[in-house]
Amino acid sequence: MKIHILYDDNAEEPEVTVVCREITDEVSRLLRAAESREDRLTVMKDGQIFILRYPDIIYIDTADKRTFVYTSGEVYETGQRLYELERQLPAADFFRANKSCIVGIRHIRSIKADIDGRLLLTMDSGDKLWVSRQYAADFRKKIGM
Amino acid sequence: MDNKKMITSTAEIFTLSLLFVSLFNLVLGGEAKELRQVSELFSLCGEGISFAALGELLVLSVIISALRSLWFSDRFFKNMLMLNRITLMLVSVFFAAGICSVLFGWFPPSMWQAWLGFVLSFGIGTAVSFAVMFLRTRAESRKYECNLTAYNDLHDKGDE
Repeated sequence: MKIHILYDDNAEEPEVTVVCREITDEVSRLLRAAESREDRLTVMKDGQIFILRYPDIIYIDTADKRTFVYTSGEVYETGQRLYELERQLPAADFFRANKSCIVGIRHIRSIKADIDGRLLLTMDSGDKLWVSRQYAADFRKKIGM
Repeated sequence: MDNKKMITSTAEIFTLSLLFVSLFNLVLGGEAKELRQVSELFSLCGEGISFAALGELLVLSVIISALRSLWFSDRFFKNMLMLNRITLMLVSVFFAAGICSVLFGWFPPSMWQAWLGFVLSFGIGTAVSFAVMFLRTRAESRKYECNLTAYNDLHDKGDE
């Protein structure tokens, strides 16, 4: 991999441009390293790379070993696993809702408690997500119940 | 619900219904002769339950078990609250039991006192328990939303 550093006195903030034929593991690692100091997540959609701000993420879930990131009106894919994202995302803004889902706390529109101890969340996007009994206890602790 | 669970569930419901009818027979032993005139379930005059009635109770048990399996299936009602599923299941069981009562002659369809007893015995118990469950979960949901708002306000201030 070639690394070029360009010095620019007018640059407002450091900027990384990646030139590649495809997103290999090496490129993914590089992107993660670049984004790790900022509140941003690198995602893909239709072969294009996008950088999302954490506050824009409504929730993240997995299906068929693929990880999807949901924002208002868009769905992206990321190469990262859910447990890696759980470690990376700020604990104050995100929590694990069940085995296959991480939820952005700020995007919860309403909560309904069920008699079996689970919680049904309605997100800003209108999507409904379950918090399993196992993770409902952590959520209660987090919001001070 | 797999076949094994379905059979177990049917057996449980069938056993409970037999116990209930037997208890009813025992309590109303003296009136059993009059009951014999109006209900197939008490055709043996308090001496037991007839084979026909056993078969009818088994049919109802299979129907209830199937309804239970339907409403508790995540395949069809994944995003429905358990409280709502139970409510809908009980309403459907109520109608299934009513239809079975008419079809099997458990009491005469024209006898309003029998229908009133059926509705009251089924309705009061479930209505009270559901009112309690509904109010409890509603209060809990409100508390969750209050705490979430407080949590977000606290963190919004922290971000500023």
